[in-house]
Amino acid sequence: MKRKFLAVLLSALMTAAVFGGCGANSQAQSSGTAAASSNTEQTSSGSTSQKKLKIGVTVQSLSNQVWSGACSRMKELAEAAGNTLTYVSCDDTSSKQIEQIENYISSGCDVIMVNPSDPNAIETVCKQARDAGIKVMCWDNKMTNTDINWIIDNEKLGYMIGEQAAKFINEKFTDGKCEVAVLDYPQTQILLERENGILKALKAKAPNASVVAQQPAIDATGGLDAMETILQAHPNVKVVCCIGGGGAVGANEALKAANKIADNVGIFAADATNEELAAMLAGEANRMSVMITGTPKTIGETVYKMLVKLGNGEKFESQNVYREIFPITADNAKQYYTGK
Amino acid sequence: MKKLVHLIKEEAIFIVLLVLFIFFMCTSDRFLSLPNLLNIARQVSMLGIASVGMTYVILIGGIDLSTGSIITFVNIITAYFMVNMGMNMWAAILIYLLVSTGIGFINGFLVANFNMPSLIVTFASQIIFEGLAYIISKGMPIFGFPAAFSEIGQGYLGPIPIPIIIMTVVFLIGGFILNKTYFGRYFYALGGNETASELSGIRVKRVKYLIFSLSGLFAGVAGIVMLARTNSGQPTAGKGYEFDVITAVVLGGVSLSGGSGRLANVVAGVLIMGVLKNGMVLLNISSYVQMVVEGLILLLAVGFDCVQKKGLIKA
Repeated sequence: MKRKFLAVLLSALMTAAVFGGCGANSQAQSSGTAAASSNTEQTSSGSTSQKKLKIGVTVQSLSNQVWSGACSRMKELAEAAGNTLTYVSCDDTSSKQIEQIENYISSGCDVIMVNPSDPNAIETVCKQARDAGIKVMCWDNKMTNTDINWIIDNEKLGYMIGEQAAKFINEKFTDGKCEVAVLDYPQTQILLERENGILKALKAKAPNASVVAQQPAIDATGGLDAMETILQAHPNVKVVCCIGGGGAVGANEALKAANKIADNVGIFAADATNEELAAMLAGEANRMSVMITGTPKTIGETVYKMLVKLGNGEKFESQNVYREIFPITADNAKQYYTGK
Repeated sequence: MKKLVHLIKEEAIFIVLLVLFIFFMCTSDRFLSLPNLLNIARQVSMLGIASVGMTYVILIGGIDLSTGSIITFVNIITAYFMVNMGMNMWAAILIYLLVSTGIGFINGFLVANFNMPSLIVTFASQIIFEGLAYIISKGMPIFGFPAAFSEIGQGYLGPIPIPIIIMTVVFLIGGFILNKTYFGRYFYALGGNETASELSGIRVKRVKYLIFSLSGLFAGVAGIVMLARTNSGQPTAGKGYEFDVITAVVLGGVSLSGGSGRLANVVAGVLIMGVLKNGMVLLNISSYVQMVVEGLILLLAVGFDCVQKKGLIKA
């Protein structure tokens, strides 16, 4: 009896899968032809684009608030404009990301955006997409087989963190003598570039400051643990430079718990997360954080604009588009702080 | 001679701890200061608390991969209750512990009644609850707790940080359950031979419910401390945490095939992880090297366990 039931269930599932597969295919084709016909429409009706775009997005992970925040904003905007936008996470696995891009190709997307887990692993599949006439945008890496790469100059970003820290050191300490801790994450190449930028700027702009500790911290817990222990080894650390906002939030908690918050203590970081901004506004140790493009919402809006521009066949000046970076301090934190 | 070999076999983990202690004492002048020792204990407190539940699960030959996810999920819902709904902190903590125990119970229920491997059940709940945490938090951290709440993670009772006190209490309760109650003996019996235990009248299902519920509960307690320490409910808070906990338990000599292990040795395993991490930061060892050393230590500890079982070291 049981076996019979299982057999029926399995065959039902298989039929469903077959029909489902066909359905998806025909849908893909129809949307393809729809896109083609609307294309001709667009050329006849001029620049006002009424073309409905189908956009596919794959990011490394949705566990990062920047990606998740930006993706949900992009979806909102796409829905409001009548376009279709699907976003998925590849959970830092290249093979999964390749499958996702393949699925986007066969479902007839007009634009695909990839935030690569490993850019080299997806070059081939991106080429396939472009051969199929799909526009490809890469978020974060300088790839070859793309229409545009939206990238950060990480060494420049790191340099900005170091520069701001150096300015603070020279203001608060006579002769610029000060102990500095760097919370890094050299396991990731771009974050290593950031760290190098920080160290270069410190060496150039605050030559008397000494970096006494370099320890990894990618999130708040990591930042907290590392900072607590660094304070044991070097109680006189006054300035902390972090490669990202997570570590900076943890470092601030450690300094707070150790009663070290003072006028001459400062954390300098990147990401300008809401938590960092809240700490800046409350007069805690976070002094500056480099914002990249803007809040996750702004990032979503910026990316969405670029995707639509790509989908409508507009040209960009160069394949590599560098993202805007600017420092946020207590002075301008309020206008970027979006509450809890 | 026989006695000595036996001693080394039983207490090897303490010897490793001692050697590490002496090594860091000689290489860093800051290591042996009282504030630093308290710092180590405070940093391992979450690991220690969660390791008690994991010890039980591994004792019966199971594994709990949902620990990190339980921490993340309840962190997010508690943060949501306290910050977005203004709930009283004690009520939030109560809900927290109930939910985490409940998730553990569901794990136990599935494992006991459907004979599903705990590896799969808890891996599935790991994914489910991680996803739910993202849905509730929309991927953004939730912060701004009442000051009294962060005291749990950052405060002191006299000179001793509160997380250390919580950890000590949990270890005492955990040790009491394991060594002084019938249930504790059942854990060993189940791990040794499940069929024999069932035939001798132990209600195996009930024991499994209890074990997984306790694992959930202790993960919950660890999560509260973590939430109060970082002062922010993060959707990545517990990611991968179960592996740290499993590492500590295995370091403590609890056999992955079940049936043998002592909680005192797990305490030592937890401390080794803390001392190692702290010492390497004090010496400013690069993070690449840190990874290598952590892997080597784990390999040594498990290797020792396996060599013992094969009888290569004869008592």
